[in-house]
Amino acid sequence: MSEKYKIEFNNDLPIYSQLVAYMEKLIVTNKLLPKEKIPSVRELALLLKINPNTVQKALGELEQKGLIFTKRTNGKFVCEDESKIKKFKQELIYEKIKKFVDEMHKLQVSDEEIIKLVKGEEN
Amino acid sequence: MLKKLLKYDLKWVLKVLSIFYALAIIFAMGGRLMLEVDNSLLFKVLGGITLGLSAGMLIGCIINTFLRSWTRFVKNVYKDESYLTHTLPVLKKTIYNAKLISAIIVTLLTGIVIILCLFIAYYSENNMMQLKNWLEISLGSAASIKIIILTGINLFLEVIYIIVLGYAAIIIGHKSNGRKFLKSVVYGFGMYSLTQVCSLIFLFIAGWLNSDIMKLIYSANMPQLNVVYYVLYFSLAIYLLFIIFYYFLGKKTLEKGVNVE
Amino acid sequence: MELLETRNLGKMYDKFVALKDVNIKIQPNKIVGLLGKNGSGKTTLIKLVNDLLTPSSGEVLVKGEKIGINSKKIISYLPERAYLDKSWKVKDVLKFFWEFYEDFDQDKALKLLNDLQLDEDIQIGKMSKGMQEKLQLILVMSRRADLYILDEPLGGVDPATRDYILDTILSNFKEGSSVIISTHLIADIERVLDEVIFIDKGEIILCEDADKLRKKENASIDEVFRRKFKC
Repeated sequence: MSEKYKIEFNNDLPIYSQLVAYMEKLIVTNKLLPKEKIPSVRELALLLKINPNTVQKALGELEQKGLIFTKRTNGKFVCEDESKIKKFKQELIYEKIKKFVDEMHKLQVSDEEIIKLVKGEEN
Repeated sequence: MLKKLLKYDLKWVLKVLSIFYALAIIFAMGGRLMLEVDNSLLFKVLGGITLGLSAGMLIGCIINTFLRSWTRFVKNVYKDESYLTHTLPVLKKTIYNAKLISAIIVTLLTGIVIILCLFIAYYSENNMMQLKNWLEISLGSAASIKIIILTGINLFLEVIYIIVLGYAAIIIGHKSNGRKFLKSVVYGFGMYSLTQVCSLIFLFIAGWLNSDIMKLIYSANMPQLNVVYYVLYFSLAIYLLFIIFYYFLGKKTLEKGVNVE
Repeated sequence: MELLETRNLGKMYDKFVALKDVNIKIQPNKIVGLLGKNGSGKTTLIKLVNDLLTPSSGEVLVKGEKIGINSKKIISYLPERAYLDKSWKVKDVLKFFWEFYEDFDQDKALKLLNDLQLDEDIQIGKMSKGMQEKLQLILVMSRRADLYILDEPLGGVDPATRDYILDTILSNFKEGSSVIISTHLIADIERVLDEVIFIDKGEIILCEDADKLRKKENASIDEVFRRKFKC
């Protein structure tokens, strides 16, 4: 279980948002399966050598997004609803693409050129 | 908490002193044994040397009663170990009291060992008679063991007074920034001299109130028995006064806080 | 009520100002980095909180009370020096802690010592310096305290030991309690910090939430520190 949680943190960015992004990635790529148990806050903090409150905050955000849920006594688990995860993955993809496209537009690359470049076709 | 602290203080001080105690007693017994066993010159010499060794150990006991008590105080309250001492959930005054009680117990033990060694080395009916005779000749026929006991208590109080004065000097010396040890020693000597002067003044006042005492100061003759008692009680009171004074001086200063390096 | 608060706290040595007008507040459940160069006043501040120095001005409050028996009961302090009687054996010092601190968890200490394969009968003076430091850390972290104050726990140790020390701190501090870690080696610990306090020349320069500071400055705490002090 522990080998899944290997994050190279970048100290320049808030640790908590990096952890959220990393966990999202684990879930949408099925490295963490639906219904799978997530280690406790303390365990995760120890595993990642980061602050327990940071972990708490990150898990809280993931819970708000509906990607994980808390069973009263047993701890936190990955969302059971696969369609929900799929939907989240789509959103994530759109978000990333939009960011990428925006960047390209800023560099004055046209949509056609972007498509060509992504496909790997020569100009 | 006082008991727990006291236990550790005593353990530390007695770790070295107990060796001196044991050696002093063993040498005293050895010396006496040699003198008893044989009356030859060889055994007389050997016995004498062994008793001398015992006396040496007793001097070691006395010196270490002071030194171990003071060293314990400095190490435990101001050196590296103080980082533990001052973060224990106890009052500063409890730390101070534990050290003082430990010093009193050790002084008593040293006193007992000295008496024990003297007893082992010299006790015989003949010697006791000689002692009694000497007392009667020098102080009159009414002199008794009481005078020896009073002198003993005086000696005991003197030791306690010097130890408490030492604690106060250490506490005040360590309040300053830098040269704490040197300043402690200087304060110690200063305070000692000052109290000696004070006690002389007290003695003159006593002499002014009681002309017999004034005679004691000026004449070389052996004094009257009642004057001796008077002086012994008087010095007892003075020592108690000084002990109380330095006890509170040290305690109040320590309670204001420390500056550990 | 704050777990720890200092009000206009100052310390002077003759004419040298070691600490000036320090006002900090530490809440429960926080890991706080007290960050500053050598000689910046970190240790002076910590010693004042632990009753090893007498303030020249201001005061220290722990749970609203002046320091004393009650504050000492709930603060577990690791000094930056060896402070145990070297003639003691490991088991003696365990007993000592057990006798004096109600919150000392002897089983935990034994377990941690066992992990290091440290023999209870070994004399402290005969242990290596590194081992003595680990023993002190174990003693301090085996208390169920409300506030742990660790003065330079990472100073001058190799990376493996650094990991061991951080692990020991993170896995043993009591839930809901706070930890203050003073250090000048910021990169090694900045990820475990909730809050950072920068101290320089005896004055508090900055108090901030760690992630907020990263976001605001777009840089690591280490980088922010370097920029501030240009070292």
